[in-house]
Amino acid sequence: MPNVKLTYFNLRARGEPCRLLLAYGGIKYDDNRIPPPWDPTSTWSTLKPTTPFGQLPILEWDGVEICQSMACARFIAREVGLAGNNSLEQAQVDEIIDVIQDLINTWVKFYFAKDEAALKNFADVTLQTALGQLEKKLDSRGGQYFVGNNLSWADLHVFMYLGDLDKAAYANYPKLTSLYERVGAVPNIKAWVESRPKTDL
Amino acid sequence: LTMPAKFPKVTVKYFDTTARGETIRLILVHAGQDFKDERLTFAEFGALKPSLPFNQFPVIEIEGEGTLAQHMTICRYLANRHNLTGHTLKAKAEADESVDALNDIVEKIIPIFLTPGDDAKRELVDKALPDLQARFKTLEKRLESRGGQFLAGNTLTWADLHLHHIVHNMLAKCLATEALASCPLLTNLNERVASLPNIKKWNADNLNRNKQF
Repeated sequence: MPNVKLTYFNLRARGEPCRLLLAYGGIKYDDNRIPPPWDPTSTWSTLKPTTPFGQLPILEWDGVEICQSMACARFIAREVGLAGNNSLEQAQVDEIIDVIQDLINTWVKFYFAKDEAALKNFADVTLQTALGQLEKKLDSRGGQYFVGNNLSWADLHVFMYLGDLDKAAYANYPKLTSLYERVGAVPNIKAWVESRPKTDL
Repeated sequence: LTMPAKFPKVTVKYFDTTARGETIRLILVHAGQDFKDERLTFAEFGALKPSLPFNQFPVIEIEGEGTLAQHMTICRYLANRHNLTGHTLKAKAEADESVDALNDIVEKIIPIFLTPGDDAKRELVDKALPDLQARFKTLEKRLESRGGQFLAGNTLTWADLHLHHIVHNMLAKCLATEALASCPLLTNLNERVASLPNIKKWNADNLNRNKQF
């Protein structure tokens, strides 16, 4: 069993991809949570200069530090067998990850800018367009899983993203809805979602 | 290494039942493969028998490649072809071990399965139940030791499909589903396989088939 510690804020946000993958793999780890930067009790201002790139999350794996949420998650995905089974499948997984990350990164900018008009356009247009494209892609792969007709990090990442939306947002996409339910039923994923700290983001 | 876009088409030749043919079908169904599902009567089998490699069913015909016999070999070949054997040598071995353990259980169920009449079945089940429950309990512990989510390699493999066939078709037909009474992990795994879209549709579409025995 590897010695694992994940340091991130007490949020799902950019730490949750790693947490879901670790849960799936049954890997016990130190879930080291720092109060978010906007919390008055946060230690982030003193911690930040000590970090390799002034950012979180940081994954420690058997004494080695890895930064950048996607590098950490992709590493764990490889360790737990969810990264794709050959070079082409790995690219297919990464494609879906990047689609979701584009959505998250766009939304985050609008959210912290408190741009209500942009957030509304995102929800009504950008998000719905992307969900339609994801539904079509899932269908083209056989409709059960995004890559290789078996569970991969791509499915976990889409599950994570849909879980942060209102059910109504993806109600018109039956294959995505089925995928969400089936990934959510995987025992370790189900147990983690039920037991994890409840946070706004 | 890239996966070929298309695989040679398969014709499955077996009786109109689940027994020693269904796991082959489930692998192809899960993989979204169009296949010819030939179901022969005993008379038709009799006529074909001398020409079969080992005078037995099931066999598959692979377009451009010939005939393959032996139930487990056919399953393993198709599982390998369709990403259902796990990704490491260890996972493949775990799948094989689980299937072997399940087949030990199948040997105990087959006589009940082949006995006509629900009352006669019930009588045999009552006698066999303690043994079946113990065997499934052992498999439950093995599943737990592997992380509790899948029988092999912490990923869906043909071993999980084989479990589903045995529970959904054979135990159910034998009125012996209490064999899984103390096995919450196996029960949950079976339910999750049953909810896979292709398997779910196949089972629903085939509710009125498998009438031969």
